[in-house]
Amino acid sequence: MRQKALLTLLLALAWTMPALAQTVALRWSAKDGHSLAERTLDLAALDALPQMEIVTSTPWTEGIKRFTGPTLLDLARLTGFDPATVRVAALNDFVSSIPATDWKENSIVFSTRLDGKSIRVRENGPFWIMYPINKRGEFAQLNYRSRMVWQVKSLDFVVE
Amino acid sequence: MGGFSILICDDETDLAGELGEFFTTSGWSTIVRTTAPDALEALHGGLAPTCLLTDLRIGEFDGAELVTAARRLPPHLQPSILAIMTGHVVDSTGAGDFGVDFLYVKPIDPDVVLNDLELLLSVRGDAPQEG
Amino acid sequence: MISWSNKARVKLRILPLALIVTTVCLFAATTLLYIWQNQQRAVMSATVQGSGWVAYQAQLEYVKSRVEMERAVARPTGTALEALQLRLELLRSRLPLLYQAEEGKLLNEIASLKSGVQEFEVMLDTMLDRLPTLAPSEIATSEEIGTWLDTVEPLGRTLQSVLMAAVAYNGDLYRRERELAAMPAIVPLALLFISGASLAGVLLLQAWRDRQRLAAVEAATAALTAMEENLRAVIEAVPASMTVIDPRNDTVSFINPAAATMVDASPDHPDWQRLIRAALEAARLGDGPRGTLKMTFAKANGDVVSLCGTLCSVIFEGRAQTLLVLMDETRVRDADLQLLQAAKLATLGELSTAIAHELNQPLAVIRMAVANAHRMLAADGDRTAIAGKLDRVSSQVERAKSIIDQIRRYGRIPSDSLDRFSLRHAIELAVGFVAQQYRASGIRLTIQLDIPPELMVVGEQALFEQVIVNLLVNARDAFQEKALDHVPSVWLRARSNGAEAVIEVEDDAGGIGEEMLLKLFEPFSTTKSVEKGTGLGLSLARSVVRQMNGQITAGNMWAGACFTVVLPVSAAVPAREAA
Repeated sequence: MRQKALLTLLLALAWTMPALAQTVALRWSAKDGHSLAERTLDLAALDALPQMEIVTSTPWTEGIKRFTGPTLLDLARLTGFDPATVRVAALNDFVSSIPATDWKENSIVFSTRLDGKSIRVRENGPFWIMYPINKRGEFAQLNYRSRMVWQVKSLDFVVE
Repeated sequence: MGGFSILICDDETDLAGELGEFFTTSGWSTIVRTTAPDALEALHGGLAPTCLLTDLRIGEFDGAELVTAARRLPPHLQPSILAIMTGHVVDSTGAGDFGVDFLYVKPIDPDVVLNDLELLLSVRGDAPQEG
Repeated sequence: MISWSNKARVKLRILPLALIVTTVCLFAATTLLYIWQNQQRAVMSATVQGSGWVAYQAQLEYVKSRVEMERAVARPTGTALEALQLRLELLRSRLPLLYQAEEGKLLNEIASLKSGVQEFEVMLDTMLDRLPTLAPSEIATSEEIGTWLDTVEPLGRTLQSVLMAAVAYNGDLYRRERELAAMPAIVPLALLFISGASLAGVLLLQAWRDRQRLAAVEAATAALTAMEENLRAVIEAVPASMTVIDPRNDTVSFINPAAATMVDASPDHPDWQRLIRAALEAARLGDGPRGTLKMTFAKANGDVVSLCGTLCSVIFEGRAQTLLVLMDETRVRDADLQLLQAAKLATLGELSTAIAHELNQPLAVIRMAVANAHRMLAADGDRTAIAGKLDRVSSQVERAKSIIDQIRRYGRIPSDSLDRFSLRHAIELAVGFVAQQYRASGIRLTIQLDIPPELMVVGEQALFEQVIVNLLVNARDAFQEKALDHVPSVWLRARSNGAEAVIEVEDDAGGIGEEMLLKLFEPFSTTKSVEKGTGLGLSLARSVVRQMNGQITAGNMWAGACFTVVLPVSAAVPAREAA
């Protein structure tokens, strides 16, 4: 019983911990809602994509920080679709929409690393969408701030 | 006295006429010319008068030139006496200035002229010409 | 007159400009302040909302965490523990935002918030580190998590107070906005007031300046009126005749006493029209400087006066009119005539030799004729011939008399009377006077008179003859001291072209120098040697010709000088007699 419990725990750890903190669910759906494609990416899969880096200060952190990860553009086109928007959901079920123009015109990073280290949930990890705030002043405005979702859980791309 | 001849030259016709008449009545042979060229022509034509009495200004012609012309005539044609009679005021000028024997200023008494001429002719011993 | 110093003028110009600039600046500042305040209000509103949001999020995670804890206490399964783990992580991630993020800025004002919250962060970190080591489905685990519920209890209270503070800020903000809405902002109001005051200042200053200008204009007007009065007084007092003529219809609008004496006190008197016409004509035709004129005028009492004067534009009684100033120079002219006389006497002296020659000729004839008559008498000659001699004497006496007449005519002092006379006759008389001189000088005088004897001109005949004599004598003298290769010639021509008679005296002596031409008619300008000419001849000739309303000019022709006299031809009946 105790062994079984331990095994269960280990299994749970092995399965849930990465899933809990280290995966992101990607889904592409048409406008009418029917699913076109789905992917779940763990940290290794995200690391396998071309990496991008943003060095900036943020309204939520102190000092200059280095955000690293694949670009939102690469994620959006991962399955060959060209989505128009993405609904970003956070662990606390906060949801925000980002229009395609944002990632097409700017290098928006789907950060998996903060200052080179993977991000814990308590540090707003594991995934944090970051805009190059210091490069474009307007990104400090409130409407953009709401798009820089942290503790990202899933990305729902809408293809038109 | 008489037998002398005189060539009178004056463009004042009246004066010349009266002078001629005066000398004629005095027994002179008188030739009157009212222009200088006529007078010159008479002289060159062998007139050879005893006296030449000329005005100083005869129209545009200078009486002094007539006198000079007379002096250049051959000796046998030259008048013995040359005289000028002028209406000009010649206060400081004398007969010698013109190279003549007498210089009269109008109006002159013709008897004075006649006396002067005949006196000088007698002094020089000129005999009145005949004819 | 009011006079301003330049500095004061500059200040007066700068002051309104400065006021206007100030007003504009104040308006701009007011507008900017308003915009800035609105923005500030928006930012503040956003900040307050952000603070509330952050506090609310933390509070929410706290409540969710407590629920997961209680669930884990009840059934500490692996899933429950994982769920708790995530909840605690999320709660932990919210805490720094309370004092660190921009959204929570307002909460910084809460004393000791940061250190308090950081204590809870350490506590949560401990729990998060401990949680994975807890075995699921164990009573111990359940009990331990049960103690955590109490441990996190103060955090709940803190978060509650933070949330309440944010809500209180919100409430305060709304209250302040209400206040702001109720009461206009004092600073913009003050700025508006200052702007308004500046505007009023500009207007007041402008009004003051306008008053000053008005005063200056009034003073200038008064000065102008005074000046006009002065001018009128001066015009009244001047002994010269001054007349203001209205150019619109050439009527007289003002007469000074001297003018009234000369013509008539009434501007409606017909003589005024006559005078004005003559004056305008004289100014137009005159060869003097613009606006000057010389003219004669027959006064009502029959006196003829010689006038010189000017015409000029004046502003009189508020509009442009013509001022005619005339001086009676009759007396001056009398002096001219004296000079003419002196010149003539000089000429007479100069001509005495010629005169003697002229007289000696008939005398010589007479003497000869008398001598011949005497001889006729002595010879008891023909009575008819003697009578002929006496006739000749008589005619020569006539000849001498006519010569003396000419000299007398020339020598007498001219009167100032105007007569009509035959131009041709006058010219012939003048020629007769110089004919002998020309003969004596060997100058060929060609006379061509294409005018009938009846052609009359008005003037004084003796003076006019003297003009012609002067011109002919001048022409003769022009040949002196000149070596010529031709017979010196002078042409005297006269012709008429309707209203005018033209007399020309031309020589071929080489002409007059350019410099001399310019001042030929000025008194005492002469080319002759001092003893020969007084230099008055041509200036007097001009006076005489002008007196006859004519003109005399000089110029160089092909071979010499040519003097031209143009005279108005008199109508059959003289105008004076007609008037």
